[in-house]
Amino acid sequence: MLHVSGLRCSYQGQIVLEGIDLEVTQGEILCLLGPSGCGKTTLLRAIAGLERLDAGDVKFSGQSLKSTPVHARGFGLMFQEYALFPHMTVAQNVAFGLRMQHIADIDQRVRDVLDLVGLTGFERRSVTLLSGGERQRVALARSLAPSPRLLMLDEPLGALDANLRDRLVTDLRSIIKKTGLTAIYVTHDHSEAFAVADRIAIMNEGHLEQVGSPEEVFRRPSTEFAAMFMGLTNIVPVEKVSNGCAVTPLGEFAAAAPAHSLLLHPLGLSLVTSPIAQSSNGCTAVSGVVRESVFRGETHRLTIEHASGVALTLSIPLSDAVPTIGQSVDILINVDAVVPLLRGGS
Amino acid sequence: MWRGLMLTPLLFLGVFFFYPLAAILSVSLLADGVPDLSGFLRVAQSAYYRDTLWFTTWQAALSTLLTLGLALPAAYVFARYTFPGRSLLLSLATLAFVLPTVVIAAGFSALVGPRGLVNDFLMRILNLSAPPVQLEHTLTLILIAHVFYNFAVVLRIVTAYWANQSARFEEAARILGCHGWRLWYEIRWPLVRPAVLASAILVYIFTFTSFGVVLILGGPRFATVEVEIYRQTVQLFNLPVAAALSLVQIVFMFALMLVYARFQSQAAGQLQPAAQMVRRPRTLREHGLVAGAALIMGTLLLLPLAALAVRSLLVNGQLSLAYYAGLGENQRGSVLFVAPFTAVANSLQFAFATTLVSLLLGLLSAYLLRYAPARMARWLDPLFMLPLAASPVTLGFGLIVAFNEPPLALRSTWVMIVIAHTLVAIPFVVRSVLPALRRVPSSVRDSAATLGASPLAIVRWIDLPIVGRSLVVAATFAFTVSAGEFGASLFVVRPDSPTLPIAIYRLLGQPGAINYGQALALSVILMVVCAICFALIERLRTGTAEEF
Repeated sequence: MLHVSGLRCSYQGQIVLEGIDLEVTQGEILCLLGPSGCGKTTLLRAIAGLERLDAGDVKFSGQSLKSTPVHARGFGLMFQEYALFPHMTVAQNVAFGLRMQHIADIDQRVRDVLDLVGLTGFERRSVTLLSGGERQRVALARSLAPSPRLLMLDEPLGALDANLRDRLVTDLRSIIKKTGLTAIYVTHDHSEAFAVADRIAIMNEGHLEQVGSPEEVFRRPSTEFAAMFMGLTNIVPVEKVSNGCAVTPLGEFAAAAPAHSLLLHPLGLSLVTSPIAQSSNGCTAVSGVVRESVFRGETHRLTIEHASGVALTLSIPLSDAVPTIGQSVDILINVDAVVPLLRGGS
Repeated sequence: MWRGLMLTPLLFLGVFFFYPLAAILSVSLLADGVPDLSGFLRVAQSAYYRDTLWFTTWQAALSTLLTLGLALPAAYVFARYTFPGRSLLLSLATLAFVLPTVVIAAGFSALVGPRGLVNDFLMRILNLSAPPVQLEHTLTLILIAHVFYNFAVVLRIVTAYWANQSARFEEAARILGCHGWRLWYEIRWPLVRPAVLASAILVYIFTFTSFGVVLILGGPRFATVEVEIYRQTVQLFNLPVAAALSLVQIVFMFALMLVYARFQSQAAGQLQPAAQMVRRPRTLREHGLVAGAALIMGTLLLLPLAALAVRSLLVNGQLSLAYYAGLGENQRGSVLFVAPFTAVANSLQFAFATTLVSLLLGLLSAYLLRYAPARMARWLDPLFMLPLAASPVTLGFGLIVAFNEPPLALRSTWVMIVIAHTLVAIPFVVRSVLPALRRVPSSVRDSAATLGASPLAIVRWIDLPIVGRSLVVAATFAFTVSAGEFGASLFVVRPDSPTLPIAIYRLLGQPGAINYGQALALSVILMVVCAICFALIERLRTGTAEEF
């Protein structure tokens, strides 16, 4: 469907995007996830035709869009700040794209779309008098109305407060899925990305770090940046790799591929208070001292320091006994929890 | 004591603004204490006065349309593109707006007048005995000068508003399929319309009350209501008619100001947080647009000022400082009765006195507006702006009518000049200081008080450091206003102690190369003083530089 290849963009002499290769298939929601300033908005704008490309191409259904101007692409873009036309009512905003693209039966379509986003009866309101959540819905309705070939949403929930965001994120996914649109969704919040995406592309400093399903990128991040960005911080430097074994300050771990560091995924870490046999059925045990214990509601988060100075964090259920600060404990590391990481950035 | 001090500006306005207005009212409506509408009847019945009002109305409309026609394309370019010289052109346009009318009149005279550069040049190369370009005392020249004057009003208001509109609106429209001329019709025009209308009304107000330009460049054939008030008073001494015209003028002005206030609040209310969309021009078309705007502005705004400077240095076709050198001599039979340079000294004295008085009164007014109960401040605020709404000519006329006799026979004293200038300057002082004063958070003042600061100590250690810059700006405004004030001065200045603009006006009206040359030389001096003050204001002014 959408095919981005070798894309490069620069702004005032500075490269903002470099070597972007990306594919979005029919009916899929792809999420661009990355910190602010990583170039995800620029990538959206480049696909929409609002930014000029230094190199590379954007193809839709196999056709290059290089010579297709913005207004003829048939895409939809929902801006972060919504950009609702302040001189028009809700209905006029939603109808705008229908008028421009000569789509028949405008009134009916406007009503349908407003129904879909839950704004029935808002037609004649002024957009300047709406709440944040209502504006967001109008912006969504305006982008949806002409049934774009590709819908792009730039931090659509960014301007809303956290409570509203949690509620609307599932609404958004179901609305997009209901209309069967292909969508690119930009966010900096990984939990939002997990909730909304079929596939996630993690971006950093103008390039793609990793593309995969939400579970894939969370379970097996491929770079240090990707891991850190999703809040996975148990990263241990690899000193050297020999004979399929990665040597780290915590000891040796099996590593099939060359790695810059290892992620010890908290999903595969557990606490043992009594020493057990090491390396039993693929598990490695590491001992350390509890340095910090933070109550987090449903879990306790422990920070445990190894003799080498490397600190690991893991969460234990509230029901478990909590070790005291300064107590020596053993951490059992499941073999699946060891994820080799690349340095990233290239 | 504090309270008493705060009330002095009100007292000042009462005595020197409202009392003169009442005096105008009584002159126009009463004769020896008996109601007498003869002045009004004469104004209403005479085709001449109706024509004057009609001319005032339509020349203002035409001037406004012409200004919009030239300045709107420039505003579009300024709102979208950044290019070398952009801020210089913007400053040039604004300088044109703040220059005294006599300087502008002298500039156009030096460019296209019978003794101006263009005619000089054409007469020499074509060997003519009479000037071929006959623009002086024509409507064309009045209109050109009005466009010159008000270009910045439209340019600044519309550019600021436009550049602050989010570029996203247009992008959103394009993504939804809008392009080409429809972008103008659907998005750009509706979004910028409030600013265009607000600036248009402002230009209309300025050209409706045009005085110096019409008086000097228009000659005896043209008169706006303002000019007519002056002629009726000074030349014909027909006070009832002058007073009736003043009333008509005041009513028109207040109506226009009300309309403006409505549009202005609309134009301000829609402003988005700045999302700058200014960038360098890229395509050939964009470069062409920028070059075109720069060329038009350069020609319109720079030529008269440059011609003024050049012509003041040309004596019989030779470069010379003779006109400047002669400023110190008191010629026999001169219209000024004194050496022209005395006018410079007079103006400086009046300007310093005005600065002092208006700064003091303006500062007190600003404090009053800032710390008065909100309900009181709401109707006090427009009160302090009123002297702006009444034209300078009305102010000057009112002052001489009101203070003609004892006990306040101030009419022919220098105090009158300072009072007149102060009235014109106070709104500028208040508008400069008040926003700064409002930026001082009450919590900061409160916490200073809990730390033991007395009210005076709070002013000294909290307010002053924060509003200090704006005080300098206000002082410079007051100084500039006084140095260039023309309309009110014409009524209150004594013949033997002319101010700079009055001296220029009198010399311009005289035959003889020396008088003309000296008028230009004095204009250049005034222009330089104003330009320096303007540069100072531009440099020090913070925040909303685009407000008027």
